[in-house]
Amino acid sequence: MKDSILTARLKSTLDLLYREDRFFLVLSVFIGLISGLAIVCFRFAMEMFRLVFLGSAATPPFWRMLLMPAAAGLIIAVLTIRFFPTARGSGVNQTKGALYIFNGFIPLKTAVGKFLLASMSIGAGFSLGPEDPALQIGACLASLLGRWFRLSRDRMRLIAPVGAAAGLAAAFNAPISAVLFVIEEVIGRWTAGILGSVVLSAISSVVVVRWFLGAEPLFRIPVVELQRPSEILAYLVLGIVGGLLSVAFASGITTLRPRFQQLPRWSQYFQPAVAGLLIGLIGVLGAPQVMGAGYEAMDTAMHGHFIWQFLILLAVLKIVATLVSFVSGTPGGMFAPTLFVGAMLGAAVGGAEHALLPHLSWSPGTYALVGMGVLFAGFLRAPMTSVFMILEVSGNYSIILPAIVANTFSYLVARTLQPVPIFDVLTRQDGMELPSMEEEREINILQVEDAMRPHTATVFGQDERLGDVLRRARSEQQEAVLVLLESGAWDYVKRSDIEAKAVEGGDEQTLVSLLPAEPMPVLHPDQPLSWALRYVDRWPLVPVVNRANPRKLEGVITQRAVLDRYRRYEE
Amino acid sequence: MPAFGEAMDAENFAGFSPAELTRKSVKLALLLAGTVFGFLCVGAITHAVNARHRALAHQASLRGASDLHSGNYRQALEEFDTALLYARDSDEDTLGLAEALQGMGRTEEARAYLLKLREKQPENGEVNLELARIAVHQNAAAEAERYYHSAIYAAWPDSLANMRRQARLELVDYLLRTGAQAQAQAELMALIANAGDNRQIRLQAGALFARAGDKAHALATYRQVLQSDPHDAVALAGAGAAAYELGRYEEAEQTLRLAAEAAPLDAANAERYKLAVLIEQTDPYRKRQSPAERNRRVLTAFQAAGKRLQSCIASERQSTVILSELLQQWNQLHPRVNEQSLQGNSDLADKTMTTVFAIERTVPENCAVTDVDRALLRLAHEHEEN
Repeated sequence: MKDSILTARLKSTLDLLYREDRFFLVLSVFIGLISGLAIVCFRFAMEMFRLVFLGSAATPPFWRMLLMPAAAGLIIAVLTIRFFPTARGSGVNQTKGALYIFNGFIPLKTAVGKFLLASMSIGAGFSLGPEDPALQIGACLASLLGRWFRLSRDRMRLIAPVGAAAGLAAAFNAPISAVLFVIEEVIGRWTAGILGSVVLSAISSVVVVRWFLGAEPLFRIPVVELQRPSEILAYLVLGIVGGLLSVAFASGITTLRPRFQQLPRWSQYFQPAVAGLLIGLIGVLGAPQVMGAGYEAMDTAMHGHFIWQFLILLAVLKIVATLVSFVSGTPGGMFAPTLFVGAMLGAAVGGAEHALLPHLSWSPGTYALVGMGVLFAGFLRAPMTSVFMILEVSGNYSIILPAIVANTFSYLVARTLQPVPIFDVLTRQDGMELPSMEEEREINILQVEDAMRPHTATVFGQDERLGDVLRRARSEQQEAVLVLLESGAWDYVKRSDIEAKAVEGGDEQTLVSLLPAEPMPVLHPDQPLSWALRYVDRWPLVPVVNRANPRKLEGVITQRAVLDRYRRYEE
Repeated sequence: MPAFGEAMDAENFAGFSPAELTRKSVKLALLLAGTVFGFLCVGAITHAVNARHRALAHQASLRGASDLHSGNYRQALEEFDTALLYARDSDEDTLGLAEALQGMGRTEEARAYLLKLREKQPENGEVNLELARIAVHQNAAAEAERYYHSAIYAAWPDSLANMRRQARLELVDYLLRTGAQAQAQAELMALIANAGDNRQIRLQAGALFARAGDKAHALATYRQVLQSDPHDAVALAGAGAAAYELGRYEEAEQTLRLAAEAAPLDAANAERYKLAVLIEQTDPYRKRQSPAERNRRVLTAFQAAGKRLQSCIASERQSTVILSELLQQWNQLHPRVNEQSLQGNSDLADKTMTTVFAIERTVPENCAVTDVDRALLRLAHEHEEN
C-alpha cells in the first residue's frame, strides 16, 4: 500500500517534471551548460590554431603573417566544399532557417564543421568573429538535445533560438545582449514562454564560461564619461558617419558575395586562400591589428594608444579584410569585425573632433564604445541590442544618452540608404525566404476595433416579450437580435426562432425561453483581430464590449468585416 | 483569458506511461552525467592551456627584460607585447612595455600605459619614476616634480631601495636645469640626511650642491667623505674647488695639493692649485702677515697691474678711454707707491689696491694676462662682493 502511494507520488512528480513546457526550461539550463562548455573549447581551438599558424608572438613573423592565412584558406576551402558545406556563412541566417523552415533541425555535422573551420579561420588570421559561429553551434547542440528528447514540433522550432542565445552569450560574455539579439534578430517577437528559456540558457552558458575563463571581458572598458551635454552633438556626428560607413560595408558584402559565388566552382577552392593572402599582405604592410577577431586592438583603441588617423586606416582596412574573408565563403561571423570597425571609427571621430574643437572633451574609450554600438545598429540593424550591449559591457549608465542618440541616427541613415538589412539580403542570396525581423517589428498588429462596426439596432433584455421584440426586429430588419442578459453576458437569438416560438406559445413569452445554455463569447476593442477569427465563423456577429463595463456595447464584429479588414491591410 | 494552449495542456495532459518516464529519466541522467564529464574534461583542458599561457608569458617576459637591459627596445617591445598577450594583467610586463616604448621615443604611448598602471598602483615607485622621466622629456615641470616626489616617497622593494635616492638625484638635477636652485638645495639637504655612509651619494650631492651655488654645503659634504677616506681623490678635488670658491685659499691650497698628488693628471685641479698658491702669495689682505710683507705684496700687485695695463694699451686692439684713464691714474700713483711711502700708510695701500683691482677688472680678460693677474682678478671679485 505504502509502496503504491510512493510510486504514485513519484509518477506524479515525474509527470509534472516531464510536462513539455516545464521540461523545456530544465532542458534550457542544460543547453546553456553544454553550449558554454562547447564555446570554451571553441575559444581554446582558436588559440591553438593561432599558435599553429601564426606562432606564439603577439606580432607574428613576416613569413607567417603573409603565407599562413593563405595556407589555412586552402585547407578551409577543401574541408568546407568536401565535408562541411553547411558550415559556410556566419550562422545567424542558418539558425533562422532552422526555426522557420526546418522545424528546428540543425545537423550535428554543421556544428562540427563550424567549430573546426571557424576556429581555424579566425585563428589563422581571417578577419571574422567567433560570435556568429558560436550562436550556430549553440543552436545545433540545442537541436540535438531536442531531437534526443523527442520534443514536439512547436518546441523543436523554439529550441534553436534557445541554443543560439546560449552560444552567443558564451562567446560574447554578455547574456543580456545575447538574449536581446536572439529575440530581436532570430525570433523576432517577445513571448513569455520563450523569454524564460532563452534567459536561462544564456545565463547558464555565461556562468560556465566565466567559471573556466574568468570574468574578464574580451576588451577592457576604461572609465567612460559624458562631461558636457554639448558632447551629444559630437556623438550625433558619429552616428551619421557610422550609418554611412555601415551602408558602405553592407553594400560591399551584398555586391561582392554573389559575384564570387558565380565564379567557376574550381575557383572556390582558392578564394579563401586569396583572401588569406590579401589579409596577410595588409598585416605585413603595417596593420596586423586587422587580423583575427581584433579584440586586442579594440582594447588598445579604447585606451587611446592610437592616433586618430591610424584608427581611420584600421577601420577601412578591417572592412576590406572582412569583406574578402566573408565573400570568399570562409566560415566565420561578422559581430567582432562590426565591433572593431565601430570602435576604430568612434575613437577616430572623437580624436578628429578633439583636434578640430579642442574644448570638446575627449574620452577615447567613450567614443570607441559608442562607435561599437553605432555599427551594430547601422550594419547589423539591431538597435535595441546595440544600446543594451553598450550598457552591459560598460556598466555605466551615463553613456546611455550618447549611445541612444548615435545609434538612432546610425540606424536611420542606414535604413534610409539601404532599406533591406544585411541578413535579409544574404538570406535571399542563399535562396531562402525568411521573415524579415525588421519588417516584423514594424508590423501594425490589427485589433478588433479596426474591424468592428457600430451596432445601431436595438439591444434587447432577456425579459422582453417576444411580440415586442419581433415587431422591433421586423421594423429594423434584423435577422438576429442581440440580448443583454441579467448577468451582464450577451447572447443572440435569430428572428426566425422568435417567430416560430411566438406562433407556438404566444407573444407573451420572453426571450429567456429562447436563450441557449451558454452565452456567446465577447471581444474587447484592443484585442488582436486574429482572436475574432475563433468565433466569427460560428456566430454571425460577435459583440465587442467595454472592458470596464461589459454591459456597454462598443460595437459588433462579423466574419466579413474581419476578412475585409485583412484584405485592406494587404493592399 | 488564459494563454492560448496552456489550458488545453492542463486539460488534456494525462501523464506519461511508465516506460516513457523511465526512458526520459535515463536520458536525463545520461545528460547530467555527460555534462559533469564535460566539465571535468574542459577543466583539464583549461588547466593545460593556462599552464601553457603562463609558460609563454614567462619566457617572453624574460626575453623582454634581457632586451631592455641591452637597449634593444624594439625587440623588447615585441616580447613584452607577447607576454601581455598571455598574461594580460601582468603589471611587470606592462611596465616593461612602457619602458621599451620610452626607449623608442614613443613617450605618449608609454605614458598611457604608465598612467593605467598608476591607477592600479598609485604607490608604485618605478611607475612614478618613469612618469617623472617622461614629464621631464615633455618639459612638464609641475608634473615632473609631482611624480618625482611620488617616486621618492613610494613603496620600493628592498632590492630597489637605492632607487629612492636615484629619484631624488634626478629631481635635483632637473631642478637645477630649470633654475629652481632653492628647491634643489632643499632636496639635497634631504638627500644628505638620508645618505648614511654612502660615499657615492655624498660625492654626487657635493657636486650638485656646487652646481646649485651652495659652496658651503658642498664643502661640508666633501669633508664628510674625507673623514672616512682622507685620500679620496674625488672628494679632495671637490673640497678643494669648494674651498677655493669660498675664498678659503689656505684650505684650498692644502686640499688641492693632496688632490693633485692623488690625481696628477687632473688639469683643472692643477690650475686651481696653482692659483690658490698665487693668491696666498699675492693677497695683501691675508691675515697674519707682517706690514712689510703686506706692503711688498701691494707693490708687486701694483707693478703687475700696471704692466698689464700698459701692455694692453700698447697693443693695437686695446685703447679705450677707460683704460687710458686707468693708466693716468696708475701713472699718478706710481711715483708715490714704494716701500717707504707704504709704511704706516694704510690709506695709500688701500688706494693702491683699489686701483689694482680696477685695472684687473677692467682690462679684457685675455689681454696680456699672467697667473698673477688671474690671482689679482679673483681677489678683486672677492673684494667687490665684500
